[in-house]
Amino acid sequence: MRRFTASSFVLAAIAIGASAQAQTAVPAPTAPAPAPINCRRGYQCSSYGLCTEQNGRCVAVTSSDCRGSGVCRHMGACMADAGMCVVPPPEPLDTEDGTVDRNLDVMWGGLGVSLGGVGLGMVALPLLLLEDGDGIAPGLILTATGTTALVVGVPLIALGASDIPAGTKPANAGLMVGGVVLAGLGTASLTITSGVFIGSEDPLWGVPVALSLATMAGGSIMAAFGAATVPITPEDDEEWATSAPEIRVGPGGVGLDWRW
Amino acid sequence: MQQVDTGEEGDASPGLAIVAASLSTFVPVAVGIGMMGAADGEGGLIATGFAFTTLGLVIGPSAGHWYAGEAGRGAATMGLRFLAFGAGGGLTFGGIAVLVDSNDTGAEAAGFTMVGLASVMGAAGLGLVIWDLVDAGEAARRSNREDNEERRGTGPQVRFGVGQLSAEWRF
Repeated sequence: MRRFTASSFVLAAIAIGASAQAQTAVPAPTAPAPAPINCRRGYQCSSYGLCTEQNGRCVAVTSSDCRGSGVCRHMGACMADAGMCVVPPPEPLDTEDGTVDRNLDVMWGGLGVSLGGVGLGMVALPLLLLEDGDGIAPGLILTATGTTALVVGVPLIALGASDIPAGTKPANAGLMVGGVVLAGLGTASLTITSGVFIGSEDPLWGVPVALSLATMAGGSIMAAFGAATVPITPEDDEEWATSAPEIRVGPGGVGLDWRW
Repeated sequence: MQQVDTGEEGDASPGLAIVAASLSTFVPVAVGIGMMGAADGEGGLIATGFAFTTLGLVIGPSAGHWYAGEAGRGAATMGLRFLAFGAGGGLTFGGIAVLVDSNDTGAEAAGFTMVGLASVMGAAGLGLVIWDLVDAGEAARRSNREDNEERRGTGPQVRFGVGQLSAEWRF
């Protein structure tokens, strides 16, 4: 259900007032045919987004009517609804209006990294099987790289596919991805150092293992901070609303809006 | 502005969930690796260390979800890790056994394939470890959001406060 904020209703009241003022200029039915209203000129379009003529009234029909107006720039009322510009309610990210309810980029990235890891493993296999043994070293390197890619890719898929509650966003997606990568590298390093150093005569064998564990733990905690959900701010709405190019086609005109 | 429930306020602390998951994973893993490293060929100590490490990786990461009240999810991801590490371990031992006994290229290929598949399973299991560690804090927030939603209940509600009156009907 769509819920509007108190400021939406204030704006609505302002917009109705502006629209009523525009209407008062229309003569009574008995008078000669009314002159066509040019809604794009005048303060009601530039200030309130009432830029489209409909049944003798100036109203906001599309969000592009609102986006160039003062109420959008100053109060965030950038969405057309019932003829007026209103503040869009916080909604789950990624719907068609430019937001995302999942970290789909992260999910697809994780899938790509995982498939890359499996691919590296498939390339490594024939190398390991070369009869002269020359392929063993590069095969093992490719296997280790592919395995590490999978360790990083699997949590990215899972985190990216998780729902983000309405009105919130991840605190820092970059920190989350970076943390997962660090944790994945720590895990791979832990596997390798454990295999190499356990049972060795080296008295300091525990140091690389402990460092690997610390990297894994640090990366996980860093990613957890990045994945924490925080409320969406009006600045986010503004950024999402204006970052994509928009083409407008209408009778007698074609337009392109691209703001960044 | 519409109130957004971020899940920060509630019974479950996101920070504590992360700490619970991290400690119950990394402490047994560190102890287990330490035991294996100090075993000096002693079979019992190696087996105990291996058990500690495995239990830390399989059970530990779910502790954050259990603390947060997401018992089912914690058990499900624990089961997935058990399957991944179990299959990975089985394939590793099977692959090594085939490679040791192999006399021809066909058997060798089968052995390497099994070890390769074991790497994939093990990597997936380790990926699931990281996922649960990262998701533990969010699990607490999810749980708090659900609790807050339940506490608000349905039907008409009127609230009075100093200088304010609000009415709400939830359905």
